[in-house]
Amino acid sequence: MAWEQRGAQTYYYRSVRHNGHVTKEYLGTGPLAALSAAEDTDRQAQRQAEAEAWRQERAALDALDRQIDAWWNAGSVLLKATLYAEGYYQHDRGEWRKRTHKG
Amino acid sequence: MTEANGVSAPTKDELKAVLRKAEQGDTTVLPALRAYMDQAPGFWEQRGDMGQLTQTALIQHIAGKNLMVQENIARKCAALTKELAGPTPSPLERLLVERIVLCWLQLHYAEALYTQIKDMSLQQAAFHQSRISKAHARYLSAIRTLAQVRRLEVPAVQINVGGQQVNVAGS
Repeated sequence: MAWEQRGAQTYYYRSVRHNGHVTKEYLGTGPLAALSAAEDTDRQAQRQAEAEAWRQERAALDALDRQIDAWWNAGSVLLKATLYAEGYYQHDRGEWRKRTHKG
Repeated sequence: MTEANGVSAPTKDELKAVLRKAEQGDTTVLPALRAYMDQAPGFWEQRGDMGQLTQTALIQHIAGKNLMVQENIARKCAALTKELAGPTPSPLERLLVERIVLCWLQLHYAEALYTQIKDMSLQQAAFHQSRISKAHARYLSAIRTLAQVRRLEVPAVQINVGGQQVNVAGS
C-alpha cells in the first residue's frame, strides 16, 4: 500500500495478491483514494494487533507446555526408576512385565 | 533466630532477604535456608511438589484472575484424585493418579481453547490440534500405566496405623 509521486501529483496504489502473484491496483488520487488508504491502514493495524495477540498467547501456552513437559518427563523418570528397581521391565517400550529370575 | 543443626534459622522477617538472595543464586544463604526448611517442612513440601506447582500453573492459566473458577477446578481435581487413588494408594499409584488428573485437565483445556477460537488461521489450527493430540496421548498413557501397575504385583507398602506398623499390599 503506498502513495506514489508522479510529477506534482500523488497517486494511491494497493498491492493485491492473486494466485501467488502480487499486483499493484491503481486507486488514483483525491478523496476516494484517501479513503481507500485509510481503510488499508486500519486493516493493516488490525492485522498487526491480531498477530501480536496471537504471538503473546502462543508464548504463554509454550511456557505452560514447557512446564508440563518438565513435570511429565520428571515423573516418567521416577516411574521407570521405581519399576526397574522393583524388578519390572518394559516390553517393547509398552507394557511393564515382571522380570523372571532363572537359575 | 532459632537454632537448627547448629545453624540459625532466619525469622520470618529475615526470611524475605534470605529468599531474595537464594533466588539470585547466593550460596552463602543456603545453610540458613536449610535450617528454615528443617523447621518448616510444609514450606518445601508445598514448593517442591512439581505436580502441584504444575497443576496450579495450569489452573491459573485457565481461570486467569477469577478465583471462583480457580477454586472450582482445584476442587474438581482434588475430587478426581481422591476417586482414582482409592483409600490406600501406594506412592507409585499416587504419582500415576496425579498424572491422569493433570493430563485430563490439560486435555480439556486444550480442547476448550480450540473450540472457543473463531476465525483461526491454518497455522493456529495446527498448533492447537498438535497440543490436543499430545495431551490426549499422555492422558491415555497415564491411564494405561495406572491400570498396568495395579495389575502387576506391587510391593507391600508400610504404613503406620494408630502407632502400629502394618504391611499393606498394593492392589
